Amino acid sequence: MSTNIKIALLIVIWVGLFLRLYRVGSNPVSLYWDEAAMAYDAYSVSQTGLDMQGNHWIQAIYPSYGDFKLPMYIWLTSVFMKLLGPTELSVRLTSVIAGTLLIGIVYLLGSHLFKSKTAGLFSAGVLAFSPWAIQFSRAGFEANLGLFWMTLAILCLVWSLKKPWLLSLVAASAAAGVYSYFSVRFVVPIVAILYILLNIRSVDKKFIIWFLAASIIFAALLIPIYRSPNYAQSNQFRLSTPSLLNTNEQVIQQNVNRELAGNTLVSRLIYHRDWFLLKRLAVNLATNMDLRYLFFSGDPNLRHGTGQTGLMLLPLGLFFFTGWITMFKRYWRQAIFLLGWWLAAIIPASIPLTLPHALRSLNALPVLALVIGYGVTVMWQSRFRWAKIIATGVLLLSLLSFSLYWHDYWQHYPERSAEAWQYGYEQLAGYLNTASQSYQAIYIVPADRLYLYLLFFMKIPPQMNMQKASNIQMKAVDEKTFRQLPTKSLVVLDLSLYNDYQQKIIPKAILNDFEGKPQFIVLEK
Amino acid sequence: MKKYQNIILIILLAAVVRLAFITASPPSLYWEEAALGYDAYSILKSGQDLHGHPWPLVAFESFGDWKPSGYFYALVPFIAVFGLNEWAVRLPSALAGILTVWLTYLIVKHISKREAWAIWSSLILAIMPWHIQFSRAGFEVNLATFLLTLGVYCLILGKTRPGYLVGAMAAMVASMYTYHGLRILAPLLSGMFIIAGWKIYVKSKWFWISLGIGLILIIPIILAWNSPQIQQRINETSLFSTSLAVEMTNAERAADGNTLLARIIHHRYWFWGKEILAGSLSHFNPDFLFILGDHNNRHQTGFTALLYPWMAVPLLLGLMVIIFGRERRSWWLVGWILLATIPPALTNLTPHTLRFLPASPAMAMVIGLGMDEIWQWIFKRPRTRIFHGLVVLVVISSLTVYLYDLWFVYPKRSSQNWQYGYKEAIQAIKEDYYKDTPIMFTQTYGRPSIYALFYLNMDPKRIQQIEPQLPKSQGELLAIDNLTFGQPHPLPGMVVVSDVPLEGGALKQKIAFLDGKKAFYVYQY
Repeated sequence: MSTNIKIALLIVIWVGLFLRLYRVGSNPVSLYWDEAAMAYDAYSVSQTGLDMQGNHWIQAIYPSYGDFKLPMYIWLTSVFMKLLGPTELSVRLTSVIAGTLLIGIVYLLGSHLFKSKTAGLFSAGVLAFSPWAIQFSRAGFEANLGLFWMTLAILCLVWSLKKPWLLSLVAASAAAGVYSYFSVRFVVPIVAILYILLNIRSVDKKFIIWFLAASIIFAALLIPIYRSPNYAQSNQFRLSTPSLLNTNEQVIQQNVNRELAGNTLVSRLIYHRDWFLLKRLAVNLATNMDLRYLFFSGDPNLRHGTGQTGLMLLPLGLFFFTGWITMFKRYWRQAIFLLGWWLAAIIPASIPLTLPHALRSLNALPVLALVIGYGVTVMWQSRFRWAKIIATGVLLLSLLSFSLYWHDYWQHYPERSAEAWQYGYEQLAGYLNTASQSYQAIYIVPADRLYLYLLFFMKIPPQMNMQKASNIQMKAVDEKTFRQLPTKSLVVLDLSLYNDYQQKIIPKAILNDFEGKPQFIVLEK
Repeated sequence: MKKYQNIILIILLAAVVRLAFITASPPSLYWEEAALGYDAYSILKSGQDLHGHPWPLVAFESFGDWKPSGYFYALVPFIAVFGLNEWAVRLPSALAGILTVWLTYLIVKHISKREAWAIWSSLILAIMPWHIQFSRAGFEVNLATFLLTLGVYCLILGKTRPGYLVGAMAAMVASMYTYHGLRILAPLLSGMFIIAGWKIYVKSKWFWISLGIGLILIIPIILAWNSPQIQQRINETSLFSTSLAVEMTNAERAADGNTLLARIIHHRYWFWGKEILAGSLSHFNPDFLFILGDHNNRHQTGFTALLYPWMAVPLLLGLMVIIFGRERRSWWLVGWILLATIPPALTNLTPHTLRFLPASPAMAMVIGLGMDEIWQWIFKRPRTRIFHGLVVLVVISSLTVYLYDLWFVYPKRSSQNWQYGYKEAIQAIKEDYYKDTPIMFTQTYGRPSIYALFYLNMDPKRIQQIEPQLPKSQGELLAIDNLTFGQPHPLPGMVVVSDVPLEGGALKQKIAFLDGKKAFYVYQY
């Protein structure tokens, strides 16, 4: 039995790796600008040991293109840049590997929590085939790396009751998670405290000493982030997204209702703004737990999902119910632990107003996999024959549902999502990379963050100002200016700008978008 | 008498919260209520509806939306006694609500020996915001829910006393004539009971007799299925006539080259199936049940949703006890709730507070079970009194806050949604109408003519005679006598009721919504 499980686990991990790695450079169809920015920083670090602005690679917060990034993803990616060169694969490989290793971690976590290797195996299988996991493992998402470290920390945590020294690894791994994705700093402490409270009877003195030590290590490891010269600015950047922290909706509701109620003392109490704020937070949390979102439609943002499937395969919804219900009966501690983990993971996603959000709530992914995996196990090992038959049938349906998802991912998703992934920038950069050598000057219509793609795909040496490093200028050239340009110039326009030329100049090349409509027009002089 | 003390108090409580200020909150008759009232008045006076159809059986034409006939006929005796006014229109619904509370008690008492569970269930329904809301206005669905609950009670009684099966049949059939959704739910729910108790029911001749009569009695509905009387409603609200499934699947089929396989995997039935399942499950979203409700201000106060937030605890506990505990026999409560999600899931607007109302008695029984479990559990603990006091405090304070909002603030917040102002505007032009002055009345707020019929107490026989010559849009009258409804074009000598300030006339009266915004301006030209 045990060897069977080992073989099955290996198969699951290998299949999971395949699903994440297969042609990862070409679908998603292009690097998104966050990926391009990390790619260029990683390339820069691998070449010179400095980031794109010329700062030393050991820094807690990378300025990047002004949106401030945590360093872990860039550090790990720079290794692949060194080994494989500056390609899409190198950027995404970090995420692919983190996502694949997560399958193994979830196996260990499931086996431990439910005291059953089968439950671990099913949880791992659910994760391997989850559209949510696959989506975020196939592109350079820092959150996916953060998820890996966080889950590793939680695995060490649940093991630590027997071996308290593992708490030091919890601290290290959690810190690595925070250096990958910032919301991990919030999730791990809550989950850790909850786990300890639930198992307070097994806690001894040795454990407490290790726990205090681990807390100190964790806090100490985070000091560089908080003391980073970029911290204040990065914090400001993060808080600038519209969220419950800066909305005044609850004040309006409070005032309207108080006014209608005649501003009595009672009305001041029951229409207090904090009630409305609490209500809104509860609604946001519910939106991130909504069944339609989890099993039917997913996140409408096409970088966060295909738009045609839920975070988890629809037929698995059945096991989600049986899993929760039986867990509360048989393993209520585990149930409360997972529920707490789920809530802790979606709270950071419920403060901003873009809802639901599959990226910000990614830390909840293992919870869903574990609950569903447990639900499958319960039915699979049931003493009722009908339960086994239903479980088998639903698993087959899930496989069918996965095939439909996989078909959609390769046949329809690329076209649907091309714009969301900034398709075209990478292609333009690739074209210029081969064409640029023979021109004195290149003028490119300014487009949002296009320069990140030029830097990366044209392999412009790091720390060089683009104008100095190459012959490129970001400048919109109209017809009149075009006529005054020296010869051996290349001009890149977007379609609307080219339309102003009234077709007096014949393009040298036209770069199409994914649907085949002209996106960039290249003129030569 | 002592034995009945509790339930009598609960019924009194139910009556107070449903009847107090019933004409002031909701603040005015919605147009559906006015239409129900006037057509019932018309039947009472002449045996024909206002369009001149004698004794409509399946549905009343009304505004061309073909309302099921049940509530109209239920109204007739009340209008005969109280006259044509708001009180009479709302009373049948309120009484149905109060009786449903009593039925809930009777059902639980019959299926279990637990008197306390029965008391809790009826108390929960008595104070449930969802059920109170629909008991306070002329909602067909509330009367239908009462009939459905009566049907269930008789079906359960029929197991031991088969004569009740005739009553069950009558109630179920009546509910099908009262609300659209029940045409689907009543057969489904009856079917569930009949299949589960097949061996018992099948022995009785009363079963076969009532089944036969029931099938005969619903023939009119079946015959009318393809006529506008039923199709009108289906076209307006059905998922199948309004969703984008066909366009979307066709596009994807084309992208896959329209092969047989592509036709199967991109079939619209998959799409619809997923939509129906998602719509059905959406009724269990916590934000829908406990925080927000749907987005219609007439379906809940907006301050409280369907259930008080604390009801989440007894609801989950009640479900657990039904699934795993001693009350496994009561599985049909869960079946009732699940089946009740099907009719709303077939429509294009989910989740839907009104269409889901038939589940409310079952919901109250599950929550009541949970409350009883909590109550009994506290008995076994130390400091029983304190904890019991805490439970009572939560119940009473949430009810108090809800009622304060419902009675005193909600009417002001929602007056525009309830078409407040029509009554006052009709009063303002009453004298001019009798003086035969030409009157133009704005149509901006929708369906003004029904309020003129209702509040001017026009003679139905005369309306029926002139109705064929009157201009109409679907079934809505656009002119009656010297009244014209539409965009005001003032001429000298005219009285104009406008929703915006006009130039040139002498302002006779301003009518405001209860929140102070202006509703109508009455001018004399």
